[in-house]
Amino acid sequence: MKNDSKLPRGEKNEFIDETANVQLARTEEKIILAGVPNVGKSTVFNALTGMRQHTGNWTGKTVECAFGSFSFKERRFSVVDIPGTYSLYAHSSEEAVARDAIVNGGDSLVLIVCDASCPERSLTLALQILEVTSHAVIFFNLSDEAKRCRVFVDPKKMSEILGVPVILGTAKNKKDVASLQKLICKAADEKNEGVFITEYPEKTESVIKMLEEKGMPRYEAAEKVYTAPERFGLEKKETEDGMASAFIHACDEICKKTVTREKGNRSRRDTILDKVFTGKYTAYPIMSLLLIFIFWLTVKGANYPSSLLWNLFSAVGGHFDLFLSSIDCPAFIHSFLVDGVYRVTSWIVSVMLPPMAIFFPLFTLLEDFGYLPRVAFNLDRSFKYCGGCGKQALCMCMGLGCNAVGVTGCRIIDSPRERLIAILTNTMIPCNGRFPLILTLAAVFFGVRGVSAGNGGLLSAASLFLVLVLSVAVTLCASKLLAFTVLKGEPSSFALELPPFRMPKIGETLVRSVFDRTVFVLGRAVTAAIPAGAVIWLLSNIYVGDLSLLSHAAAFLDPAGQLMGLDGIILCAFILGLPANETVLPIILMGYLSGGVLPESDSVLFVSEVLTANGWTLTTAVCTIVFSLFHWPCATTLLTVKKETGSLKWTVFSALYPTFFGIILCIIINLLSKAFAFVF
Amino acid sequence: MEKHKDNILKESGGALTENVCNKGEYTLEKVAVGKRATVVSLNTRQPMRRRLLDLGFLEGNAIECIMKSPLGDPRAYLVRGTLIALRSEDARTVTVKNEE
Repeated sequence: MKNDSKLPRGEKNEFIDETANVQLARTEEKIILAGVPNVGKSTVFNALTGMRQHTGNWTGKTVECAFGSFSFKERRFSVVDIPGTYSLYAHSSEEAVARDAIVNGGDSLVLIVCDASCPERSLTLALQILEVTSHAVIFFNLSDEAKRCRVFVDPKKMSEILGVPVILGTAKNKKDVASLQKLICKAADEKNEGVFITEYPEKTESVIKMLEEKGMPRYEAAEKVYTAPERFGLEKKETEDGMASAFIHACDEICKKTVTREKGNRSRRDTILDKVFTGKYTAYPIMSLLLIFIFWLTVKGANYPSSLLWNLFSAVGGHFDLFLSSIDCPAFIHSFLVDGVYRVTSWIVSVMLPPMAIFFPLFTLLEDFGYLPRVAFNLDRSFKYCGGCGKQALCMCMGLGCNAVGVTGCRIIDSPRERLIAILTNTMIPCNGRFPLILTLAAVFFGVRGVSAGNGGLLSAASLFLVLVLSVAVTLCASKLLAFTVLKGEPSSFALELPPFRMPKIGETLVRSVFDRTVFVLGRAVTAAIPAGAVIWLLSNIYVGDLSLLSHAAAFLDPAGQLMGLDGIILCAFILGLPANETVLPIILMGYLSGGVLPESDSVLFVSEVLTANGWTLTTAVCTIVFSLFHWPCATTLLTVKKETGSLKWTVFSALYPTFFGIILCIIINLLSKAFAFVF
Repeated sequence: MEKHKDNILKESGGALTENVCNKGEYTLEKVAVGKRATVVSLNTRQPMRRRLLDLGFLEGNAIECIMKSPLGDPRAYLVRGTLIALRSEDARTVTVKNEE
């Protein structure tokens, strides 16, 4: 199945996924999936590869690619989905990866995904790719959208002009996907002759032709001329502009011959939706209501599955317990394993999995629908004022689910300075793991009854929203402070595409998202929860003198705690909660009960009894909530910060910065409440 | 008339030189919502310049201002079928004229 390809290209034939350390077998034929953003490339990838996929980093860069494979008629193909880019020439790391993949792709077939409802937009990249390789296939996706917008592409004519196979269809339709796979099979063996060549302006073209005569491949010649036009006696700005526009002019010419449209540019539905989502009086209320709705669904929906999981784990734990007794396991180790490691791990999984399995799929649906860029659009001005950009709002939204995911999500911010600001402040947004603490304290001290109460959890969702408002306010201030001091700089250029609204395939998205989340949570359970359980058990069951190590630590930290309106146990709980924020409240309860294990119940009544018996007041509750919002990130997030920034200095800073806010705010609240009480 | 900020060379993007507009020409951020205009020239620095060119901000191409953010900035422009949001300081680097 040897391919005598076309232009001589680089020989790097391996796709090495650093994070999973997988080297795709040489017997698989390789396909590169390319296209501009928002053409449904991921949908095509998912349709081709099904569940046989994973994400990973492109060699040496923090740019994520998806790797997968599929089989068709006994042939195996491996697919890599490179980031969507507008061109192969520009300067961001995504574009560098895309260019690298295609230039050094060796024998690989490039599957270029275009948008049938707007061919002009997506065809320019195709032309740039054809300059590098003729071993390509073009798939005009979103044919259903095109029909709705009354735009018609003639694939046969397009194929004649471009010299490569062109097919029209939609990734949502199984038949179209099968036709695509068939075409890929055929195209993988064939060589394309007479592929379209984009002509540059006269002066540039003559220089390139001269270099080609010397034996240089066209794309290499073009790159040389583009990067250093002066070397060839060309004027810099004119050449750069001319080369960029060449593709657009060629694209327009081609589309004139192959595309017919019946109506104006934009669909009515999209215009109306946009007017509502970004209107002066409707934008923010809609955002707030949507957020409250998501909170409500997450809180209400997670309640039952959480208790179900906990009961399930307890049952299994019971058997484990009996098993250890039967093999005469020493009491110390028995308790360590069952009461410590197993109990804490199962607690974390039961509390963590259901909310995440609800929150993230909802979020993904919003993203696929196209609403999220509108959020960035609405909030950009406020964030720009605070030294960031609108995309930071999206990272904060992801941080609501899990701060580690939020930090990774900061990659969408182009400017390194703004990205760092977003990363350092992300943990000030409460993640799913902190919701139980906030909601329980709200229930106990503010009479906000939880899900079981008559209002159906709506008040819970609303109180969470208020806490979030505080969070966002402080995040903005913290960002502004950073932009003023440590991370000074001018606002970067901001160009955000607002894609057309598209109905996502709800069922498939939900299933895929829930599956991803489950894998993530279980992974985290292993890496963070097991050590957490071990440490917590050891500290509360190893005695020095009369008191456990935990009690000693609490006594030591008590003065500092009192200053902040907290106490030693609370501070200890936050420190021990470093691996997972879900454990903070249980550790507090355990500390007060002087038990060696996490308590059985976390019912509102039980918590209320324990806390008030230990001197908790309204102030304590408020300070605890505030400190829960503004303290060091959890261990997973810290590791992610280190991975994203590559710097130990910034990782340490990311731990200290929010804590600084937490300490100051708590002290202020404490002093104010003492002053208040004194006066009255 | 243009604020002196236009002359400050920014970290990325921003204007190359002071925007000199001929008669009948104006800058993009002045295009009102719902109105169209034709591109005359770009006064933007790299890498924003290349990004705008790739999207279709070429001489002679039509742009329509579709909507603006609730706080007034950024605005979204439709160019060659792509809806792209630009801040006013970046829109200010694009010179346009009325559609023919």
